[in-house]
Amino acid sequence: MRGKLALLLTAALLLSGCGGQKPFGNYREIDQLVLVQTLGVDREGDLFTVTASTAAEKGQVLLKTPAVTLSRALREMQDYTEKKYIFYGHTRHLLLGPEAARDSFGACLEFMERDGELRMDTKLYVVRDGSAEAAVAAPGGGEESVGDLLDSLEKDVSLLSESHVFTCAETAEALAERGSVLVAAVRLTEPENILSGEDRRLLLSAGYAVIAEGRLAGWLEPDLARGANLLMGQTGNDLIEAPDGHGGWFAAALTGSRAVFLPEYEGGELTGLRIRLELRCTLSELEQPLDLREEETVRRLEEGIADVEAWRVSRVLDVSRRMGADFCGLEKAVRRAAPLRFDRMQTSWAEIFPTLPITAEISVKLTRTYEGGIEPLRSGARAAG
Amino acid sequence: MKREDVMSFRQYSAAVGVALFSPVTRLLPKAVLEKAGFSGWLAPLGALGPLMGLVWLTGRLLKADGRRLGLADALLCRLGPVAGRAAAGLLALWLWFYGGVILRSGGERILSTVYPTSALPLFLGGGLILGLVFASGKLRWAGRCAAVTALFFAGILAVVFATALPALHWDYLWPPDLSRWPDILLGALPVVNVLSPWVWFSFLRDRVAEDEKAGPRAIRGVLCLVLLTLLFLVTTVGDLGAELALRQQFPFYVMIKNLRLFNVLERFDAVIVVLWMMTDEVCVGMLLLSAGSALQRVTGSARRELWVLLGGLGMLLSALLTGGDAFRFAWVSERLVPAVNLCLAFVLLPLICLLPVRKENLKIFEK
Repeated sequence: MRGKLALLLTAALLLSGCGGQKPFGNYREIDQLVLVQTLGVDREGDLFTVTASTAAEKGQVLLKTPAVTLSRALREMQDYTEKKYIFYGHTRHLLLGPEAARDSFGACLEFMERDGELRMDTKLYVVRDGSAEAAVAAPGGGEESVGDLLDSLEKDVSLLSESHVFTCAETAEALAERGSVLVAAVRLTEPENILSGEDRRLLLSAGYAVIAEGRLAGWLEPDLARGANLLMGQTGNDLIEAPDGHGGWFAAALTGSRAVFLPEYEGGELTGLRIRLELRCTLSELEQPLDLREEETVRRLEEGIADVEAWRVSRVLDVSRRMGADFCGLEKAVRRAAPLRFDRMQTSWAEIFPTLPITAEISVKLTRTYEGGIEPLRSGARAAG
Repeated sequence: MKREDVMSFRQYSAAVGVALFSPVTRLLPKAVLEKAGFSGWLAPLGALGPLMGLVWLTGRLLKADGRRLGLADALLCRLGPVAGRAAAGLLALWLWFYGGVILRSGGERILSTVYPTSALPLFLGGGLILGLVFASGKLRWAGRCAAVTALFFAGILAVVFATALPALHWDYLWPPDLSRWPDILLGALPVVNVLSPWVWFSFLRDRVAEDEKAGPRAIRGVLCLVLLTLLFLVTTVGDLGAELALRQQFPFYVMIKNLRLFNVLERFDAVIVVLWMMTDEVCVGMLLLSAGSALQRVTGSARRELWVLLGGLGMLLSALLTGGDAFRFAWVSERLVPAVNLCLAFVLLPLICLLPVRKENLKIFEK
């Protein structure tokens, strides 16, 4: 019995890789590893240029290699460190330069899928107006790394609903499913809005990059990105500003939304699509006092929000149909509403989509406000109290 | 039968349960998604009927004259001494081949996911040694090993499911497209395929201690396996999406790369992949024992160990010589072996079950 147990334990330890460098080949101690947090990929002609940001105690260390393939570029970076192994398994962000997104988006995603170290839950971005290398180098000599900037940016875009940061897995799934997809776009910006005198540059959200047929096909500005988010159910905590109907302005925070897709069929063919968007908002700012107990007042505010969102949604749908790219996943939603009828159609979605009449009906429910009063403060009320 | 050479029904169930998870990652969810699309995660529910039918069928096949038989004895008493011996012998040879495929696919899996620069024979040898240790000696030893492994494996599954479920994209799964119910039912076929090879472990059924509640426990076991398979599919498809999962070689391992434990621990995928090898070892061990038991009965030999050792050699040869490179081997392990297993379990065994038990054949047991 003891012999068997010893044999079992030895074999189990050997098979788990505890045998050292050989014969497993890739066994390494953790202090021999240099962890990469962010990868930037640019493309120029036939060459990829990969920039890697590695975690370090004081700021980031940047490595850069040009190569014909991404595998080669990552492998050659190993030369840059002495006695250490660059480990890509903890990469959290992947930035693609505009040329890489235009010419090699599919190849980059395929590489992420196939590589044994990299993970598919790596966050994906496309750099607008610049290169991935410049974006990775954005923090300059500061203590922050580009990974920190991107972590912060991810929270910001959720707060402003200017885009949504998708992972490589989500992007690959959407691309396979509908042929086009939106990827969070970032832009390198000079720090003119930072008053503290920092010399680093910033990465800001720049809406979405539209990927169609495996390549960068265009951009969605942040305002339209908000409309796309509504259709995709990625609303975040968007803030909507609109006229209050009394000559002033108000702001409302979006707290929830639901999109209901109602396809219309005639003679077995899809003849139209109604999209009912139900939004829930909270009043966060009023330029002038209004009595919120009056139904008419609240109705006007709700209409103001609906008008803004209707404009955004209709513009996004226009762009989507003009590009022939169903990046909001309407086909999936329409099919799910009535799968049998959809499958029996003679005409394909790709043929119908560019000319399909689509109407968006937006209903808004302004449910509450924050600390401010519901009734306007009447003059003399304080004195009476 | 010596008292020691028996495993309890609980140990037997543990061994069967763990062993069946070996082919799960090889065949699922790809085989299901190919047929049923994103609603394929419902396919295990469709597999319940055929699996329950198989439980009933083997229960009937393995009972004669009020006695519980092993599969080899059941074949002998229904087919007669010559045809019965031939059938049991051929099935044992098939189990050797099948065990080789299990060993090889375990090795290929670990090479593809954790140790790409290592060598396949290392994992074949290591896996085979563990399988041989499991299968050598008394069945009680194998039973204890299986019970400990099952506990360990249940812990792994609990960690995987508990960390994966909160992070799922439920819109990848819900609402399911029930209009494709014929495809979903067709998708049940690979699930049946993965969970049905337990019939081959019935060669050991006469070495399992009698248990009054064996019937209800077997039904509970099938329900439990179906539920675990459902969770396996839900977590994989819900994390990656059907289209992406379909493109991956081992979608489950791609999924576990993404897991995080309370945001403090990540990248424990390699540990899970390596620990998942336990299922291969238990499966190989159980196949060695089953084939050894069958051949012992066929030849009337007193020592099972000899057949277990020969089986190990057979499995090693099968693992080394089958399929060539990983691409061709995928056809053998994902198409050929499941098809043969399914035919044997759902065509051959029911046909044999139709044959009456001959009284004169029962005398074989008295010899």
